Amino acid sequence: MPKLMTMALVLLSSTILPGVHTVHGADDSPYLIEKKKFRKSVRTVALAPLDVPDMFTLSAQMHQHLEAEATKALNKTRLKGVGIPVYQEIRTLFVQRVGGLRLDELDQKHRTAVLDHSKREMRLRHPVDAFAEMSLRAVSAAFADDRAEWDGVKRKVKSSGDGFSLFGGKNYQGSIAAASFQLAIYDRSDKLLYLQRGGIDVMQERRADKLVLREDNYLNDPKRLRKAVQMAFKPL
Amino acid sequence: MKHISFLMILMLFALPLQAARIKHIQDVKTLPENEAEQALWEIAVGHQDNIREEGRLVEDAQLETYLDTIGKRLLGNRLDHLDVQIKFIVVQNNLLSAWVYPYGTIAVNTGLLAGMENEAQLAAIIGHELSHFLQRHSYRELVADKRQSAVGKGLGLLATAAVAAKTGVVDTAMMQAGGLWSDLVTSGYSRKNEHAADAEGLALLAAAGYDQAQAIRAFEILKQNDAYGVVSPRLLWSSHPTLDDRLKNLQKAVRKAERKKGYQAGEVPDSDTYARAVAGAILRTGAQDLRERYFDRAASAFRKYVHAQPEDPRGYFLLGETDRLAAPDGPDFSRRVTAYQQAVQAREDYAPAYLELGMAARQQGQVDTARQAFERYLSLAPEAADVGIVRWYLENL
Repeated sequence: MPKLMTMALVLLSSTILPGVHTVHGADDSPYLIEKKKFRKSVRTVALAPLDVPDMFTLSAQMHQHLEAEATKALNKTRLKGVGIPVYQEIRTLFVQRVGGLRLDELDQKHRTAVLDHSKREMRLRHPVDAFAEMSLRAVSAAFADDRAEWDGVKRKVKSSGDGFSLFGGKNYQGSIAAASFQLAIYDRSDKLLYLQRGGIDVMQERRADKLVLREDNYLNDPKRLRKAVQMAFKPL
Repeated sequence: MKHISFLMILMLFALPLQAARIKHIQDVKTLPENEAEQALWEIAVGHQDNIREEGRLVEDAQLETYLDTIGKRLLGNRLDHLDVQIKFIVVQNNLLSAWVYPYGTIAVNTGLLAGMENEAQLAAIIGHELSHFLQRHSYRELVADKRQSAVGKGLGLLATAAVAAKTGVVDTAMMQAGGLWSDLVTSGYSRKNEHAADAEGLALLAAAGYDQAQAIRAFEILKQNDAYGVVSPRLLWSSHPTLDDRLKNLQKAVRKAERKKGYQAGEVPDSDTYARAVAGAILRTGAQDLRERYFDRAASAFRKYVHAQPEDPRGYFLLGETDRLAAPDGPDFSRRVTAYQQAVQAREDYAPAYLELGMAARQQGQVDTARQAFERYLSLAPEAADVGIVRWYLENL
């Protein structure tokens, strides 16, 4: 029976957040090319502004905090960087040129145009070896006994009601949506060279036999955010 | 999505008991024989629904009609004995793959359409799938070969469906159960059934007047793709059991047929006519390869497309884009510039090519050329999302 419960949990979980990414496990190498080759070919990077998908609510203060931590983390590596403000300046200019961005779907074309043209402009102006793109991602986290583990962190899952414990005691397991900080480094022709994530917090909580999205702001803990950034940059 | 009853699931678990009643079915009316087969059909419908919901179904009536013509030619008068209508769907996927659902709908991937060189080769694959259908291999494997068949492996998913049905998430459960069908589709049938479908497929091909030797070439192409190593061999149609053995069997069968008295070679259809018929699939395959950064394969598909549709600017433009995305910094811009120029030669008002001509000229410091191209772009696409940015380029040349 516990196995069947697991299957049901996976199904329930997948219905809530269909866009969830699969876990980039802690054992996976973050390097998509040989590490030696990466170190030889990537010496300078341009750091792009943090991308926060609409599904997340991140305060301006925490946004700034994440970008500052990322800059700090990059400076601790052997890589020389073109800072976020340089990239941001181009993006801001292009956002103005398309008449500003709104959060509705109609603006998707404008967003794509801004992202594409600003990257091309960065490429033209700055002879860096690579581009580092940071984002918040929803990932799928392994979940057992009210504990979730993913991208180098373990977090307790808030639970209320009987639900699964009625059938399977505390032995149930499955997957749950969680938030991570992701660092992806691309070469000048957009080939992915490096991908690493650091876990932040779970995005769901258990209410009886259902997993529901958390209503509290789980992206408000500066320490957790800093740790996530450090994990993503550490292998560099 | 239709509801799958718990009773049907129990029936599926009880199927081995019925194995002795299954007989080889050919040239007979084809409808579900019992509740278990009906359940199998529903699972297949679930898989087909997933393809549609995920946006992978290519809606191209012309292409479907073309495939329908091939199917009818292969089946000949067998069509009179079938209670179900043979249908074709085209799926956006670059794998060289095709499969048949138990109710006679044949799914053909864009990659297969683009990969074959002529109609006879495609007919060889379709004939093979039709044979699986005529011999009800999916059902036969479910009931008679549970231990080895992919369907047998997928029974666990039906248990999931049962649990989820109880918890009220039937649609999702069916979506998962559709994985059962995926399993069958991607893993292939048993060796015995593959050989049976190869033999009958070849017979259908010959009866329809196609050159049988084209089946060998079709298999060779599948094998080359297997060797390409881009995807897991397990996922390829060509990875059904013992592809080498099947190729040898086909060669033997074709040679045997050729030695027969009164043998007449079948038709080898023109490859250009074929490329024109499946041009849409070729373009889609190239575009997918480009998105997935298989630049050589994308360029090859676009070259094939411009040969088939020289009047369409998209093929030339995408050739230019392939070159740009593979080497954005150049140093050689001539190849992409030529491709963009060919695009505007094919259609003088093709705006995207002017934008890229302008971008390439700007990158090389050719101010006048860039200005001219950007101005033309703005006049042709005044509503484009990036007009403000392009105006900025113009102001700062």
